[in-house]
Amino acid sequence: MLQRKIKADPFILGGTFVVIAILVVFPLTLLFLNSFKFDGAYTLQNYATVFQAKRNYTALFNSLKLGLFTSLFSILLGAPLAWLVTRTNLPFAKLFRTLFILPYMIPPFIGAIAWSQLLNRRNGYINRLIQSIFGIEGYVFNVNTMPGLIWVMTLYLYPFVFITVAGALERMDPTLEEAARTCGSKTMKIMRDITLPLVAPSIAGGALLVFASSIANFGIPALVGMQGRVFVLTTMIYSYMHSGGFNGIATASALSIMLMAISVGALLINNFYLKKKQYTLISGKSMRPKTLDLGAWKIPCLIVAIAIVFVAVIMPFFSIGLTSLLDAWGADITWENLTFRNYRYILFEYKLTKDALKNSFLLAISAATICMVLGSLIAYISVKTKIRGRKALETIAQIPYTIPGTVVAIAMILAWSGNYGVNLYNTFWILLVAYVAHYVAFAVRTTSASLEQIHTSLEEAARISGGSWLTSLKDIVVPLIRPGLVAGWFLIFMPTLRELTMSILLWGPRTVTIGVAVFEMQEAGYVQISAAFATLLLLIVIAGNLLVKWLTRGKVGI
Amino acid sequence: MSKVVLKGLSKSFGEVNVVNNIDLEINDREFLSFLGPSGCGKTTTLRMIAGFDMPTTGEIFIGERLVSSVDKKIFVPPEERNVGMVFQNYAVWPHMDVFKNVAYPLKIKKTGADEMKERVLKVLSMVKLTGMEKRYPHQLSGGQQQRVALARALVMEPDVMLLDEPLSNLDAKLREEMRFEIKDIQRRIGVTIIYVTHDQAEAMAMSDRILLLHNARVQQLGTPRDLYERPENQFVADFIGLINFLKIDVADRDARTMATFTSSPETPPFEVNLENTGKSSEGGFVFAVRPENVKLVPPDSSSIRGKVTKKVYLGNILDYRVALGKEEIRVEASSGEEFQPGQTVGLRFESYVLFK
Repeated sequence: MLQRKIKADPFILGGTFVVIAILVVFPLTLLFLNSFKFDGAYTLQNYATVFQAKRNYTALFNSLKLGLFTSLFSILLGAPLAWLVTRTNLPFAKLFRTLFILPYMIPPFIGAIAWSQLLNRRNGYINRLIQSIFGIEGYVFNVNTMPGLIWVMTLYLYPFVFITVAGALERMDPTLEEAARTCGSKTMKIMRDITLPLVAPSIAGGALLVFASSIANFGIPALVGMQGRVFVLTTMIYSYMHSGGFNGIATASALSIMLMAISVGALLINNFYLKKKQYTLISGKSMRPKTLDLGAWKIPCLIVAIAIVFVAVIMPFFSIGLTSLLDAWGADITWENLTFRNYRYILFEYKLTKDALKNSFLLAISAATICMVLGSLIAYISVKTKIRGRKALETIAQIPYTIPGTVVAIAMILAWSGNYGVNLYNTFWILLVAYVAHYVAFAVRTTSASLEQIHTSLEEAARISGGSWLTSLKDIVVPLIRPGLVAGWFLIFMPTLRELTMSILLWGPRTVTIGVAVFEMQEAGYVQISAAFATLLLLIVIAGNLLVKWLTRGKVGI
Repeated sequence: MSKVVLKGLSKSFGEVNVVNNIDLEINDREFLSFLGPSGCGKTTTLRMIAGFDMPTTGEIFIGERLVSSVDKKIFVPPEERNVGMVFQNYAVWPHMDVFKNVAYPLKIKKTGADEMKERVLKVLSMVKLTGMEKRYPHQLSGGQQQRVALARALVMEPDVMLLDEPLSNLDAKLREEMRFEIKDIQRRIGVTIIYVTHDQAEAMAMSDRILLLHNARVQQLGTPRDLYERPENQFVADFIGLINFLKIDVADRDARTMATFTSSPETPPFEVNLENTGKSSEGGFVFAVRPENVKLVPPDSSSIRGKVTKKVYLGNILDYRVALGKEEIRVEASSGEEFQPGQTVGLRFESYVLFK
């Protein structure tokens, strides 16, 4: 269908391949090569350096520890909650389902700020509460430790396990359990013999996502860990980039390759091994499995559910909101100490936050729009054409999302700092390029899902009616996938608006973003104004989510 | 309205030949079917005529215009060929109502609003959808969606209409009704139609001529009657209707060509006509006879004998299985004496075909 007289389409379609090569293949190849480059020669020196310094392998070890414990606790928290909301007669199960997913929506670094306020060793709200109740001196909790990191990370990542397990429990063919019942099994025995083994791959899949996300996360270890000198790979790379120098970048590259290997490894296991097993659960019928009557356990379960919502959602929200209204941080909370001045300051007076809002909105709108155009073309090529290399194109476009943002940012610095004729360093453009590379995968996924629904004959019918390729794209394809395009746009807009991991490595004096501004203010100790800014961001995120939900009639969003 | 000419048309995907060297001339206003089992290359050939697939070799003319030629590096894209097409799954656009679907080809040609309305309403009445203009596809039945697809192809007044198994998703009763309607519309507007189907009854009922394809090659081109009564090879004979194949040995005796069944040499020799095979008169042949062309009679000394093994009453006919030596043949009788299983009968072949 595409082998025809030269017109617009070969340029558009061929251009897509070129753009992806420049955007993804070139920077990542450079990163790989640079990790072997030392004093102008290709050696294993950088990797040797990495392992010579104790702090480097401590960071590696800490990353693995953080990943493993976060996964473990996410399973312990997420899987039982998933079972409780899908398979029992827990009151308000539907409401709890939404509430349990809520932390997933909150930018992790905001969670980190909230927990720093709550469990900070000097004047954390909880420490102070305990001090005043029991009249003790000193602190009980210190968030700036490895257990503190694991605690905060678990509370923001357990929804991955919750979502995959709840999905599996809902889609599970009820006849599998009914068959066990006809064999004479009791409820608890069925759980152990049938249900648990069947959802085990989903639990493992969710846990691997948690693992990959926790070692790729920057905001939480940076805001919670660095103050207590607990370094993981992402924060170690950040500090190498800050200390500067060519060999600093080289060591950072070597660490990045290691970070990438670990997280990509986890995702590959999930995609190639666990995904296949998860499918066997789906029966295609949409019968709802029978729910278990909790009986006397109903009230205790409800109390536990409320307690979890209180700890995971209400406490952090309340803490951030309260702090944002404080006049003086650390002083007693009285009516005299409450003010809206912080909001007035960030919205109308402080240049940093005003610039951050402007830059982030501009970046997020541009990135989402470019991603959707590029991603739709890639999805179209992959789904609707027979061009050679189309599947490779789709796979390559998805790579940057599977690798940690820190790694993508380092690759972008290597590629676009003037070493190869283009210098975007410290500009708006390097942020945009990095955002587009990292998030184009979202656009590809949402659009190809929509495109697969459209039978080729719908387009062919337009061609035979006299329309050119572009006409059929405009009149038939685009109108039919419009809901998918809108949803995809927001799925990119929302995370890029609050992006921190890549921005922190790529921002310049004139390109501060919302994430960077919150981070810098928090680091500088401007606790109340950073809380006010974080609250503003939370309100934007919630409003955006409601908007997506309304636009997609509840299909996307929380 | 025009004819369509295919010259040495082939298509291969990698090593696999999907269409192998087809030469065909479809006449103006003809209804021609591409018939064959799935994977025979019929849909690929249609798609090459439409311009959705590019031939590996060969040329395609629509009317006097060369629309596809590998040697001359000509390939007119589908939108410039002025052919109408009806797809198997209808391909009615779900985001447009009936009027917009049908008007789309006219919109592309920038037809004026008044003329557009007039022409759309005209074809909608032709396919019996008057009054349905504002409905959306999800409010229509399968049959109605198919009519929309048909109207959309008709409205552009194409040189040729291509129909790709258009009735295969409809239920049996509606399918039969649509056959007549399509045929009727063609008679009224006199368009050339190329119709792809795997259903031989559909092809027989509608076509002026049928092109029977198998394994990427043309097996036979002819009228429905040609294919049924004068199949050119065993595949054609077997694909169209029911037929019995029996091996025979032929030898010349007293200037007469006499045959005996290989599996039952004890049956008396009978005379056969080898003219249409063009083969020498000695050796083994395949004797092909349709069930309704075998007559069962009370046996006498000179007759070929068989033994009735099964009998099924089907209302209009009696369906017999008759053992002939080691083989069994099927016989359909609509008149004459009725025989019972176990009875010995005489067989008379009223019309048959021989294959080498």
